[in-house]
Amino acid sequence: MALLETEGLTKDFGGLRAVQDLALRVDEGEIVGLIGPNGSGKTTLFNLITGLHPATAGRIRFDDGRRELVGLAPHRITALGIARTFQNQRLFNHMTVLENVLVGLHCRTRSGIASILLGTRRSLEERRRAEARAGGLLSLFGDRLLPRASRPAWTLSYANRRRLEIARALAAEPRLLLLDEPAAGMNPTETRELMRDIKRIRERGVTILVIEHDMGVVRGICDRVAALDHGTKIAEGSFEEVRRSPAVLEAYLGRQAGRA
Amino acid sequence: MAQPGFPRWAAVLGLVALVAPLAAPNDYWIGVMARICLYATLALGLNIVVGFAGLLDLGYVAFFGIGSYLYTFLASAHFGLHLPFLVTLPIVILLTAGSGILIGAPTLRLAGDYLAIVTLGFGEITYLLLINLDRPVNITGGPSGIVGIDPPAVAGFALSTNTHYYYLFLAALGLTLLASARLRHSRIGWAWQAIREDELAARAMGINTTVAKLQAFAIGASFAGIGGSFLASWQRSVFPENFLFTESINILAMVIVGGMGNLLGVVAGAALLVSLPEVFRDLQRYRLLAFGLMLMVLMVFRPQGLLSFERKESSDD
Repeated sequence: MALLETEGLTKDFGGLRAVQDLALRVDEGEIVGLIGPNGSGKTTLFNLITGLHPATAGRIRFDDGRRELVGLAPHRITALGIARTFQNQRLFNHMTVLENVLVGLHCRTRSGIASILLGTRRSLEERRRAEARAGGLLSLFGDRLLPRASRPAWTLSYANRRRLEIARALAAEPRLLLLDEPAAGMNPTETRELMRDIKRIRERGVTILVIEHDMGVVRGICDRVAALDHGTKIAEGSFEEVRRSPAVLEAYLGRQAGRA
Repeated sequence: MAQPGFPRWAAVLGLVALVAPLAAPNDYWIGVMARICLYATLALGLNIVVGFAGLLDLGYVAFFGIGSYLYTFLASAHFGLHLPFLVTLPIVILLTAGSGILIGAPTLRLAGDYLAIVTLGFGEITYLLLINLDRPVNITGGPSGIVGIDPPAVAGFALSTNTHYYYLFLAALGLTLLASARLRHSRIGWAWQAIREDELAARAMGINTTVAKLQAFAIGASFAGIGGSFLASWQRSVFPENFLFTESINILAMVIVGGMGNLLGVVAGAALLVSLPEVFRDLQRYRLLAFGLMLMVLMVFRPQGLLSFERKESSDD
């Protein structure tokens, strides 16, 4: 089943065409890798899917074509079941680690102002459940995050911040998780741990679309890979197929090497 | 069940506040204490907008003025309406919250400096309306304001002395503190703080930022509605001069001096900024100079505010 499908997706920034006529399909349960040189439109694609940028043309369909995402506000898209992390971490730095995850639960909780002010049993109950759930998400990363739950997010190490971004995104209960360079800046040990964590997240029934430059990670976790260059898809298939594709070699290494 | 944000020593402070009038040297100081509670309530309201949601509102005094005049319209000889206090107050709170949404709505797409300037403009507009709406139909009484406002009466007991007002204002301060603490640790409070920290990420995390910001403006304004009603009924009169731009800055200074976002800090900031000018009264014409110097010293040595607890510097790198 196609969880996500784009068709003719195009995004212009003034005179620059960042994404051009892109058709991409992600099936439920897959881990799909998105590769391509810097500026090839990968992050723009994430911004289009999550509604942060309006698309210039084209369609983005979710949930086997049942939902059209183009034109929806970002919070509606999150509510439908898409969450993301950011390439340059965008944590809520002066909130605690636990509160960061609780923000992710916003769209899965209901208490209104009146019941919060009155301290109704239902709102207290909901908060207690939310805190328990947030703690559970932190414990996905073993003892990396949970013991630091009440610290401000900015005190975390680089790798832990990346982990917290993933936990926060999972709090929104996504069916599709978009990871933007999750391994960037991690050392080999942390990268191995991350690969294991991403696979575990898939086992929880979450489909994953991941932008990654570390080809070891892409080879290790992705069922399928799509390569972008200048906003268009230049190759798609298994990691080996894409790696051998002349268009991909050319995009990364230039024309001479592509011929060689 | 313990309320988060209210440690036990807060209860001790509450008890101290309850018996404080006994220790006051004279009625004048009880009046000062009443004003501290009144301004602390206002500062808590502004803290919701600035401290929690991170929206720099330089026109907060507009809501204070709107609340005062609404109370006056409903409980004075001006329009001949003499609604009882316990009826008037909820109406004023709701209407002031509504005015928060009205003034907040056009500013939703603005942030930072731009938001500050536009809200400053709304504050000035409100002041000019108060001054000029005595013609062609006399609504606000113009520059000479409105006098003859009903004192609050609850179940036949009319408040008259400063001590009465002190306890009324203290009760309201307790309630607004409780409301702030409950909101701070709720899904709405977390959404506000997320917007303050990174609005784009907040949107991507599923927060409807339009709704969340309007909620902040409405709740913040409703606190000013309480403060405005109190000022009008305590002074028994209202004047446009009560709601000048400097008052916005004064309330903002309480929030910043106390420690933005920290509830007891904001109350401490209000206590300090209301009482310092009184302490310096003996300095006569150098009073404001001393006051300004005090603020500068405070900001140099406690830039994070009086009670804003220093975040742990330790990192787990």
